[in-house]
Order: sequence, then structure tokens, then C-alpha cells
Amino acid sequence: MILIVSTPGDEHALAVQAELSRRKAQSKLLDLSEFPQNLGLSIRYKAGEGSFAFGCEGSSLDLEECGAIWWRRPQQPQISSDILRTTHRHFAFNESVEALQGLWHALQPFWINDPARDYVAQRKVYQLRVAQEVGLTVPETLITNCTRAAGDFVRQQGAGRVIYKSFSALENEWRETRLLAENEVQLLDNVRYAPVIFQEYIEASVDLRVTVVGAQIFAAAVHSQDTAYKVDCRIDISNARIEAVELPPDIQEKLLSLMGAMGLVYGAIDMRRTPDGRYIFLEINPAGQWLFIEHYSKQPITAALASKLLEHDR
Amino acid sequence: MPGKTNKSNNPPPPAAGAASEEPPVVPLQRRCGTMAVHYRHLHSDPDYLRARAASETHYSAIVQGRRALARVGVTTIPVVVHVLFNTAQQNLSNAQIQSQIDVMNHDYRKTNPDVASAPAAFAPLAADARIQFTLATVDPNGAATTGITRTQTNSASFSDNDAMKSSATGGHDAWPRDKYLNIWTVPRLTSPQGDLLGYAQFPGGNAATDGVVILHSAFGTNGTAAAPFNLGRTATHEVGHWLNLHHIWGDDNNACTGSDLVADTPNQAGPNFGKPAFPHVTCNNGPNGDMFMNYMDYVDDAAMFLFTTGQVTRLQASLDSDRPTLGSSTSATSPILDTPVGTLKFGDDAPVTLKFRDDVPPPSLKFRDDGPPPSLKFRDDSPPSLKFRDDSPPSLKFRDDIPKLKITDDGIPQGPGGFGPGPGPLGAAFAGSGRTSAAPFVLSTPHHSMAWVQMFPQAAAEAVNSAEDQLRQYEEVLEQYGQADSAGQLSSAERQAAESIYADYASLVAEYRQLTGS
Repeated sequence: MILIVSTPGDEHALAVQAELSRRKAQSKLLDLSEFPQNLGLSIRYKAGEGSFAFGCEGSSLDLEECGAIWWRRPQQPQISSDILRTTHRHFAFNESVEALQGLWHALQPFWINDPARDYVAQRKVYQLRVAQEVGLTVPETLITNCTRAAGDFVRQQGAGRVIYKSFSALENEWRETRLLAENEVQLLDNVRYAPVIFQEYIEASVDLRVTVVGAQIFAAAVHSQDTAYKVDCRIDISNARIEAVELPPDIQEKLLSLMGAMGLVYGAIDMRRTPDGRYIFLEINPAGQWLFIEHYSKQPITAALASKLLEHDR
Repeated sequence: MPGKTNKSNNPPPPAAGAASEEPPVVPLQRRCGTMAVHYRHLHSDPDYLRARAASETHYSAIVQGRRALARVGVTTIPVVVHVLFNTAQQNLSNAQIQSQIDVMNHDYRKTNPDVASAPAAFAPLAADARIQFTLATVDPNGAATTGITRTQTNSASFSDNDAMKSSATGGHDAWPRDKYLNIWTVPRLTSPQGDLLGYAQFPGGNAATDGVVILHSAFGTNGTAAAPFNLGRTATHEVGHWLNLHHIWGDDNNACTGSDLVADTPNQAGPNFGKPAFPHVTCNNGPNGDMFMNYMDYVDDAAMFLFTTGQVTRLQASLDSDRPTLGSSTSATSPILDTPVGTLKFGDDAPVTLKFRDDVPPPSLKFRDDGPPPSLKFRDDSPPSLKFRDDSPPSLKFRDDIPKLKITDDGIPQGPGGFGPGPGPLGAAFAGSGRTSAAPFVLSTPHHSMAWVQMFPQAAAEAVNSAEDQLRQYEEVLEQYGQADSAGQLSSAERQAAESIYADYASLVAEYRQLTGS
């Protein structure tokens, strides 16, 4: 049994499930937001044995039967509205999180990706360090909440040569990567309220989206410079030509080293190729999307992911 | 059989001996192309997106009782039917076209006889949509018309790419949408997912492609209309989309998380096909299950026969905001509303509630529902339209000469922060760089991007609503300052506070404009 931790509406999960069922393999989608209200959990230790199952009695999902688990879009537990007091709700939430986190660490399936590795790999500060260590080039970067340091960095790089971006996004506070505009310099004082990632702006001939599944590298060029927004290729992606490309062997090697160092089986890497042919690493998304690439590049990424899960399932 | 008008304008009778014609393609199941077209526009047309956001904002104001529907009677909409035929058979007779108009007139006035077969559980929800349709009698140039255009086309088949809506691509140009509902009938309609019965363009899109497209064999009740889609319900369904109705299951791929943005339709997993047996339970919606007899499901023509009160509110709200000049209004000839709009009950699945999908659902968000309802005194008698839409940016109310109002020293209003729990978690999003509130650098840069609006339309709609609520609060406060000022009761410290509140207000207005494209 292959377990996919995600939401019912996740089209990537649906695509992989479709591929798995085409190959007559069993898979199950687990939506953790159903826990603990609608989803039971039973963990037992007895006489030297342990058992782990979702379900209370009757039909349940024995997690030892799951040879491969895809940690795709884990959700937070949702606490019953029967509990009114804030502190009680927090307690219930915390207990639910503790039980689940312990569970994941207690299991020993084949993971894409191991939740602990995934947690660390999402951190942009860590990514840049590992990328440098494996020999990839990264943009000159300042991550700070020091207003003066931010001002100095902007001055050194020069006007219109600095981008800023956030570490992560909330659904209601989403910001694309932006060039720092002249009139935003005066706002730099606000850096003291929360740290910001500033980077030198990397000119692109193309953006590269490199999806790695195991040892397979699917590189695609996103022709972002022909679109309405050149700084962040996600913005006008519907107008960007996307095609499969081949990366130079040394870059491929370094990306696989990066994956190895981070302990990831799957990762979607954002890079830029500069007009003078250099490859610059921007970031890696350990649970990044690929369907928008596969649709145009025709690279068999869904199939590769399904294969990877399948080869480790008992 | 009723209403056969313009006999003399009947087209030449179908060519009798067209032996080489392909048999009409009759899909086995209903499939509608509206959502695919919607997403195509959403991702390519920022104007469409803005119009959609504005429309949802208006609708939510109606739902929340902050605004009232403008049209209380029956709206009569002139229709132009553009018949595109490749073979003579597809050149529909006037009788077939009139039969379609008749069906819509029954379905949108709840005078269709089959509404009587609604299950007892759903029958009370069935509602009169208060719209009727008539073939146009005047064309865009002011000349008399039958309301029918007939165009022979070389295309044996069209797709959902709107080619039928332009004479340059084998179709017929649309008539102005502020005066007409455009309906195109086509020989065949295909999509990557398979043959379609029809598709509509939601309100807010390009005028040149506004309207609905119907497969000729799913149009009307006679002539080429073929079972099981020969009762005219395809047009009822597509015109529903054209009036902003969504599929009843919420287009969420069986996730049970999507909504049709209407509160009185049950949550439903996916489309129903054919003629389902009642009840059909999905998404824990028992005992009554899916409302598959709704026009916005995918069942066969004979199995669909009602709109709900909530759907009527939504389509009427859309008429008001998206198509304000369309049609002529008459007073109702039947009870205006089955249920007063104001008593609509919204449960836990209120349509505009922001649903966090991904990583960060802070449990504290839920707590808003638990608390006592805000008792803002000006809510009840808030002005019908937001002031900031009239003057840009608004002049400082407390500087104008405004009729005086007695206000005691301890009655000086505070800023919105003084109202207690505050406007909710989205407040911070609009703090901007105003003087009274700080924001992290990334959020203080003055924009919510269109990219965000595109990626999270629901969150965007929620942000717009929240902004309007906050703007209304600011306006009320500023108004009170103004009244206090004209009564000579504003100290210099209070004047300073008012200025500061105004600065926040102005930056909120700027962000609101960016969000709505207004």
C-alpha cells in the first residue's frame, strides 16, 4: 500500500494516484485535517511489538503495510468546535500534533520525503548554505532585520539591482519576488519588524525549473523573459514557453549532491541561466509542483514519482 | 406549442434529401465547458479577474444584508439567437427557437410543471428567478428584427475557443451585451474533455464573447432537439452560468470542499448524471443528499427542474452589479419572493469564509465565529454606497461643514482599534505604512499583487470584503469626527487623532483600489 499525505483536492496527488492505479498498485490518500475529528489513530505497544494504525476499530489502515509514504501536503489537525475555551483548543491541537509527529518518526517506510528532512530542507537559509557547499553558485544574499545593513546592501548592489522575497507565504499574505523599487527604499526601516531576504538580482536568459526524482533529473526552461513579469517566473507563467532542456553534466552532478546532502528523494529546484551562460541556484522546494512543467515539457515526472513509490512498496 | 410568432420568417424547410449528412452528435452525458473557459479567462485577462472580484464583493454585501437587491420585480431580457449551420438541418426553425425561449420562461419563473416533482425536502427551496426572455424585436441599429440571425458556416464543428462568436472565424459577432443575451447554436461543440452540450461566459468577461453557446441538438424541444437533452434545459443551465451561478457541486473534483457560493444548496461531491434516484448521499449530506434536480447539476433534461432561493439571490445580485442596464423591469405578477431575502440563513459553510488549504491554518482563526457578534451601531443604518467610491480620495469629512450633531466630551469616537476585538486577522494586511500601525517590510510595500489575486481568488475576495468592512468603520469614525468638529467640539489633540486615522484610511483606500482594480 502506498500512502499519500495530502488534501483531497490536490491535483498532483490525483495524478500520481491515477498513474498508480493504471499500474494496478494500491494507494490511499490521507488528509490529516480530518484528524482527530473524523480520523481515528491507534498506536499500540505490547510484548515487544508495536502497531500503528489509522482507524479506531473495524476497518483501519495498518501503517506497517505502507511500504512507501509520500509526504506531499500534510495538513494541520483541526480541533472540534465543541471545545470553546482557547486554552483548551490549543491543548487539543498540541496533543494532536505531538501524536502525529511521533508517529511519523516511529515509522520506517520509504519516504518521499522524510518529514524531518522535508522540514529542514524547506528552510531557505539552510538551502543556500548546502548549495554553496556542493559547488553551486548562489546570488549574493543578505538576510537580516538590521535596517542599516539592509540599506548598505541596497546601496552596494545599486538601484534596481536588488530583489527581496519572503521566506514563506500565507494564503492571505502572498508576495512574489520583487525588485526593490526606488520609492520602497524609504520603507527599509520596517525591516526591523521581521527579517527579509535581499539578494542581488540575477539577470536571466531563462528560468530553469529542475525537478529531481531519485537520480532522475527533469530540467525545463521557462522562458520568463518573454513574459510581462521578468523577475518572478510564476507571475505570468501562462505566457511563458516551457520546454525540456539538458543541463551541463557538472550542474547535474552538483544538483544530485545537493539532494543527497539534504536527504531528499524529490525536489523542485529553481535556477536561472544568465545571459553569459552561468547557472545560478535560487532555491529548492522539497514538495514543489511539477504538473505545470510536465504539461508542456512532456517529461514523465508523474510516472517517475509513481515508479519511485512503487519500487519501495512491499 | 405556444407562442409561435413570426411565421413568415421561418427559414426554408430543412433540406429533405441530405443523405450524406452525418447523424447529429448527441453526447450521452451532460458536459458543460463553462469552467474551463472561466479558468482560461482567469489566467489571461486581469480585467476579467477584477470584474469577478467586484461581482463577488457585491454579492457578499447582499448576502450579509449590507445591500439590497435593486430589482424587485421581473426582468425581461431581449435575446438574440445566432443560428450557425453547416448543414440545412442545423438551420433551426423559428418554432424550435421559440420553444427554447418558452422553456426558459417557465424555468426562470418557476412555472415549469415538473417543479411539482421536487422531493418534499427540497420543494420549499424552489424559487422564482424573476427573469423572462423574449426574442429581440429591435436590432443594434434600431431596425426591426426577429431576434434571430442565421449564418451558414464552413465549420462542421466548433470548440470552446469562442470562434463561433466572430464572423471572422466562421461565426457571428455578438450583439451588445448591455442590451441582449447572445445565444449561439452550433452544429457541434467539442473540447479536450469531449463533446459539450454548451458553455457560457461568466459575467465580467470580454463583451465580444459574452453569452452562451448551445449545441443545436440540445436546443429547444422540437426540430433537431434530441433526447435526453430535448427539453431545453441546457440553455436554462448555461444561462444560469451567464447569470453567475456555479455548478451545484462546487467544481471541486469530489473533494466536498468546494462551494457553489450559495448557502441553501447542499454540499455535494460531484456532478450527477442521467436520472438519479432520490436520495443520492455524498459529502455527509444525508438524509436528503444531493440536490441533483437543480438546473446547475449535470442530470438529463427531464431530471432537472429547480433553482433555489439562494441561487435566485445570486443571479439577481449579478444582474444588479454585472448587467445593470440589461433588460426592462416590471413589477412581479406573482409573489415577488418565495422567501424574504433577509432571512437567508447561512450555516457553517458560509460562502465567503476563507478556507485555509495549505500549511498554516492557525486554529485561532476559528475563534472568530465563537465570539459574540460585533455590535457596531452604525452597521444597521450604514450608507447604501461607500463614500470612497464617489470622491477619490475622499475629502476629510471633519473639515467640511457638516450638519452638527451633539457630541459630548466622552462621546468622541476612537479609531477602529477602539472597537474592541478589531476587524479580524486581515486587519494587519491593510495596515500599510500609515502612522498608527507598523508592518513588516515585505508587507509594507504597497501592493497586493494581481498574481496573488489570481492564485487565491477566494482569499482575495475575502480580503476585499474585509477591506470594505474596515473602510466603512473608518468612514463612520471620520464622519463622527466631522460632526464633532462642526459642532466646535474637536480639541487639537482629537484633531490630530483624526488626521492620523485619516492617514490609515487613505492607505487602506489605496490598497483597496489595487485589489479591486477600481
